[in-house]
Parts: sequence; structure tokens; C-alpha cells
Amino acid sequence: MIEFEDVSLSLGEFSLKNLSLTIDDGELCVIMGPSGAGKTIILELIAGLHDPDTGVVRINGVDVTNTPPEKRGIGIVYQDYALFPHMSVEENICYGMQRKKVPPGEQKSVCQDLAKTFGISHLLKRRPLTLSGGEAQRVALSRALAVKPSILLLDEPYAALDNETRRECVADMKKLHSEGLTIILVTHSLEEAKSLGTRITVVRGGEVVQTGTADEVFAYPNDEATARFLGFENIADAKLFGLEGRVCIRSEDLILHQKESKNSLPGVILSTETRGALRTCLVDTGSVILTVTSGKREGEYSAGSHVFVEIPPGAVHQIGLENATKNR
Amino acid sequence: MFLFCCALLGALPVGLILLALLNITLGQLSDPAFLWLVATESEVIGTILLTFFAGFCAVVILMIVGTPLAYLLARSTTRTAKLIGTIIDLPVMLPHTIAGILVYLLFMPNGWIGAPLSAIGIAFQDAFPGIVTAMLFVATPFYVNTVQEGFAKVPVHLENAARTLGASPFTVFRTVTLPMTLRHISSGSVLAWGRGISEFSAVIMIAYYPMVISTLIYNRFMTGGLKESSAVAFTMIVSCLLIFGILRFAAGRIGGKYDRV
Repeated sequence: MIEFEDVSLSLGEFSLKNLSLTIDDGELCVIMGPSGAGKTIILELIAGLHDPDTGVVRINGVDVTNTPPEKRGIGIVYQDYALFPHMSVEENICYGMQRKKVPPGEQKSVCQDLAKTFGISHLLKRRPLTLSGGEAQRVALSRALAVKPSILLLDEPYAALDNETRRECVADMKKLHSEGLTIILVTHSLEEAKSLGTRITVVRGGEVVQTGTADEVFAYPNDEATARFLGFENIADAKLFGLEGRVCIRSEDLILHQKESKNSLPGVILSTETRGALRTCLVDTGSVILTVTSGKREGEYSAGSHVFVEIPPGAVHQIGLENATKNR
Repeated sequence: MFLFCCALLGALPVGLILLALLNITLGQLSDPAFLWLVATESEVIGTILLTFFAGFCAVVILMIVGTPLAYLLARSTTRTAKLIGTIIDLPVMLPHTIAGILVYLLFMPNGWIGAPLSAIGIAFQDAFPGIVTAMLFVATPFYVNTVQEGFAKVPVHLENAARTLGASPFTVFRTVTLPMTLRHISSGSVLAWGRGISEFSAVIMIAYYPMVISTLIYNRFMTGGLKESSAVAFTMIVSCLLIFGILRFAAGRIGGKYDRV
């Protein structure tokens, strides 16, 4: 278990303020937030690469606030993989084992086992600069796992990968998590966060603004900025389906119709924009302008068309409801 | 057109160097017997070797003390680091006679450092340590700046990753940072060595004797005239070209083997 208790840290203009956070053993915790929010700093605090100005960091109940990174047993994989370019893939993987004085024979067998697991056996003699993004990612993962860390920190490791390689690498990570490894992943991708995280922590401006299960966080964003960050494009004051106050709706949850249907609002399309296979329309309903995203095949609409926007009951989320519930 | 203009303008400094070399070479080769006589003089050979060795000693000291300094400057963003960087650059900006006076004042027999060291038998005035100190003083910015640039190019992420894999800060420096900076260390050393052996003003202020090659050329110019000093100069040029050629080749090999790219 990782515990942050009132941890503060100032680094130049950036500061992390009174961070308190608990991550349980075996969790796959996703840390999300806009650029410069402090996500990487949180990972580096866990790894011991920064000393907090105030507060306590505990791992499995032990105060590790002043324990150097080499004694924490935590693996880290950076977005740029941070492979040592002057060493071969094999030397990279064995680097940590050499530091821990693992016998050479055992180093070789661990390296070969990991290389086999991640399908990089044919790359062992290569230099990192000759590897593709996916290959480098697997080498970095193998290198971090070679020293058998208790916690694995992943700092946007899939950002530079194409979709297919990303899917393969995500599958690798899910497998590691299913084997009981505690993983903390920093990502910008909402889809990744939704599909992977057993817990999601949203960070903004050096503060944790929300933490909870994926369902909780995506259904009840704590505030408007968090709702926008989590992909809610429609935010307004409303009284809908028993909810009252500030509510948010994802643009893809709304449905456009040419005829009036249940729970629908009449409106006029102001503009349309095509993004790949999807089309986004701005619809003026008189009281509010809604953003609606739909498949291109779901009817042809153009600016000026009169339409009806259906709001399914499950699509409406109240901002801050979780807090309100807790407070009650 | 732009590239042509660049080439035309760039031809001026290159042409000047080549013309000067061609001039002295043709002049010396017109009297090879005299050139051979001067080049094989024991004083000339001894002085060239002494100059090279003094430059080598200065570079070794720089490698030991300048490398950690360059690392600190590369990794620190504090105002103090910026101030230290400016102080390091001072010898480049100062006239070398001033550098000589600064070194002399500090290392003369009754200077702040010279007095206690002369008490234990280490002399700087008109002595080999004085030559090395003057060379060290003027060569420091060339070494530190080059190596600092090399360290700055090593991503901190790499060092962080190595720490989490069980390496202490010194082990990270030894196994990751230093090997990735060898190209800069070798070229900084060559630059600093070159700067050191070419020094004249700062060296004569503290140690006219034993003479370094610049002092000997000046001395021969004043006593034996242009012909004699040109022969010594030409001998030094050939020796330098040989040594620099070998060093550049070696530096390239080291860099090629260990550099990150």
C-alpha cells in the first residue's frame, strides 16, 4: 500500500499542495490530469526521485520519505522509455540485476525469460536507438521488471505508440496486473483510463481533485473543470430526470432525430464538423447550445436543419454529486 | 545562391590560415638544412616536450576537478550556478596578460597560495608548476563549457531510471552519465590542451623559465631574428598537427564507441 500524507513539494514555479492519497496493493491506479498538473512528480515522489518539502510517504506502512530510490524496490517506465543508448538491449535489462549483485548466470536466465515473455529475444544484441517504439517499450518494461519491483510506475508509456502496438502493450500490462503487481499509470487517454483503472485519480494544478473507481469518477465529476477534462462537452444548469443544478452530458451520449421523440429538445444545427468516422454538430435549442457527436451514417444533417436532440436519462450526470452525497 | 555566398565568405578565414601555413612552409623548405639544424636542437625538442607535458598535466587536473564542476553546472538551474558559469568564462574574456598577473599575484612566493606552498617546497615562480597553473587558468573555460554541454544532453530521466534500478548516484554517474559524455570529455580535453600549450602571456608572467615553446619562439625572435624563430615555429606547427591529428582520431574513436548517438 502506498500512502501520501499531506505531501507538499515546490519545484520552481510548480508546487504540489498537501497531497493525501492511498493506493492499495494490487491496484491499477490511473493518474490523469492536464499537462503540468503534477502527474509525473507524483510518480517520482513514489519512486523517491524527489524529497517532499513536508509530509510523509509510506510504502507498506513503512515511512520511506527519506529512503533513496535505489532502496525502494520500485520500477519506473518513462514515456521516452529512458533506455541507456550506450548499452545493448541485454545490458539494459541486466543493469538493475548487476547493481543488485545477482549472479551472472541468473541474470542471463532472467533476461532470457523476460525477453521470451515480451517477444524481444531477437533484439537482445541490438542498441536501443535501432528499436521501434513498441520494442523499446517492451525493453523498458523488461528492464524495470528484471529487479522484481513491488510497484510499477508507468509514465504515459503508450503515448508514442500506434494503435495496434498500444493494444498489445496494454495487454502486457493487464497481464502483469492480473499477476498481482501494483501498477500506477499516468495517461492522457480517457479510453485507457476507463478500460484499465481500478482506481482513477484526477490531478490538477498540483492537487488531487478527485479519486475513485472508474465508474464513480466518470459518472460524478467533482467540478466543472474535471468534467470538461473527462470529456463532458455539455455542461449547464438544468433540472432533468430528478437531478437539479449543474449537470454534464457527453456529446456522444446525445442522439439526433429528425422527428420528435421521447426526452427530446427541438433545435437548429448551427454548424457541423467531421472528425474521422464521427460528426460533431452544434445544436441551438434556444436555452442552451448542445454539442452532439454521432456516426456519419446516422442521417445527414447540415447547418440550418431543424432537429430534435434526445437526452437519454442515463446520460445526465450531476457535477459534484459524489461530494454532495458524501457530505450528507 | 545562399550556400554559394556562405562558401565565399567562409573561404576568407580558411584561406587566411592556409595561406599563412603555405607561406611559412615554402619559406622553411627553401633552406631545409637550417630547418633540420634548428628542429633537432635539444633545446627546441626539450621545450616542445615540456610544453606538451605541461599541457597534459593541466588537462589531467582539469579532468579531475573540472568534470564534477561541469556536471553540477549542467544539472543546476540556480542563480549561483549561473554566476559560477560566468566566473568560469572570465579567462576567455580577459586579456591573457591580466590572467598572468592574476595567477602570479596568487602564486608568487608571497602570494596567498604561493606562500604556504613555497614553505613546503612547492615553487611556482619560474618553475614547472607555475606553467601548469597558468595553462590551467586559461584552459578551464574550454574544458568545463564543452563537458557541461555534454552532461546537459544526457536526459535526467535516464539517471532517474538507473536510480530506481538500484544504482547509487555515483554508480549512475559512472555507468550512465559519464560513458554518454565521453565524446565531449575527449573534445574538451583536446581543446583545453591546445589552449594550454598555445599560451604565452599568462605563462611568462609567472614562469619565463623553464621556457615553453611560445616563450622560446619569442626569445629566438628577439635574439636570433625572424629566420630562427620561424624555424622553431615551423617545427612546433608540424608537431602540433601530428599530435592534434592523433588526438582528434582517438577522440572520434572514443566518442564513436560510447556516444549516445
